[in-house]
Amino acid sequence: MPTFAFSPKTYADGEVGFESDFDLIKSDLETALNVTKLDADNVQDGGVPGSAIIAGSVTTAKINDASITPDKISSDSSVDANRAVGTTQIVDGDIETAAFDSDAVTAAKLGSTNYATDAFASVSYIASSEETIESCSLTVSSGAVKDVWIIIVPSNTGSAPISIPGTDTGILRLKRGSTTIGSWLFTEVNGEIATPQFLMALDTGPAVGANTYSVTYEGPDNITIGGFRLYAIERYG
Amino acid sequence: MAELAISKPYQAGEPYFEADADAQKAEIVTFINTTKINSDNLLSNTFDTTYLANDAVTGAKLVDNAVTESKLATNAVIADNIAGGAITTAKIADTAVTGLKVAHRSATSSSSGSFSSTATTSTQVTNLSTGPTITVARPIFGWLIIDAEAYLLKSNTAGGFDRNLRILVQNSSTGNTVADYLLGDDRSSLGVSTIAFYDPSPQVGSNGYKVFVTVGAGGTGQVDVANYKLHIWYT
Repeated sequence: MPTFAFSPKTYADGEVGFESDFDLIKSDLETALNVTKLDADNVQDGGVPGSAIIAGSVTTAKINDASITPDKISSDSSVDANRAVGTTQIVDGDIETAAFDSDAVTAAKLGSTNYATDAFASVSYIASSEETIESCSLTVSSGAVKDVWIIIVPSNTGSAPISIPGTDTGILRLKRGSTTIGSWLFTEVNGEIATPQFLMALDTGPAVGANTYSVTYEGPDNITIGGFRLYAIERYG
Repeated sequence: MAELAISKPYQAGEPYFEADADAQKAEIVTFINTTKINSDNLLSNTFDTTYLANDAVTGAKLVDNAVTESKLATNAVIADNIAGGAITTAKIADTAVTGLKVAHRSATSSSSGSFSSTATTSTQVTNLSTGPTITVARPIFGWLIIDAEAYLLKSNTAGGFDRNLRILVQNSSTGNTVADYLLGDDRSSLGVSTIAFYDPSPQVGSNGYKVFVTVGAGGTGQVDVANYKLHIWYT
């Protein structure tokens, strides 16, 4: 602790001040500032501003353990540019498998499957124009738009499957809004007509936000559809 | 403001008394030991590492948000910064890994258009061929999906109930048959609308799935595949 003190004085009133008296005062000051030097005891708390510290001086050893708490790291709930760790700070490929604890990505960590569904009971149509049998609304996630699977499968009602009498013809459509994504043509070939019991189409063009998916039928002839369920599933990856 | 100001207790023509010198010295002592220096007495960029005590930079010394992106060097975070197993379950927020975070991992063929065959040997359906190049051999699911006005039908040009349609899906890269569907001679089996398949053993690298149809042994007639696509999705 370099508490500064002058040497015992060598002068007194009524005496002539000699050169050595003043030299001693000077040397005390010079020694204190140049040799002994000042330390923390001579600096006010908070007295050293950042501007007085030479850039690059705060090395690891100067940082107290556990002092860099989350609030010291630049963060922003909405602006990426204000966040400390951007993609450029991370070496490509360096978040390695080894960094993940075994079985760390549990099912709870996975986002919910985004899907919409609606069941429809057994219905019969005699349709000369297109009619909507059932529809559901799927809100496609924001960000990169994934494809959507559109599926109709038998439901659990035990109802009859899709049937179309004789050689009647028509079109069963799976649609997004007014856009047909896939359709099944009931058509006669050599006296036979194929009837689907499971249909699947791939929508590669949904918009972010709400999309209405539907199953429709258009004649000219009639059709009977048993209990089925319509699914619109945003594909996970 | 920590400015050193030394009084002047003497005048021109007067003697310089002991008390004068004592007062001036006392002011210097007080400044150095009591008032103490602060930023007013320090030049900018005065202190380098040598002058900073170890552990001197405590949390309180760091202003909030001091560690900005610009303070982190490009490629500052390397694998060796992250301890093995550091990313535990608890570190990952529930439902954080959404579908949008997972890269596309599917492939879809072009449409078959209107394809017909009467061959009793295995015949590849036009355009129903697709496959991913994968780096990890994980199972693959696949389906025949419908395009516009699709149908899949085995008819008997001679009449009667002879179906005998066989549909094969093969991974031509591995040689594995991943689906082998036989529509027998039974009218109730007519409803073929899709084939789903599962390949538990794709190969690392390219995989090529192809769909073949056959008018089965002893069968006659024609198979029509209209406007289908082959869609696969790897898990």
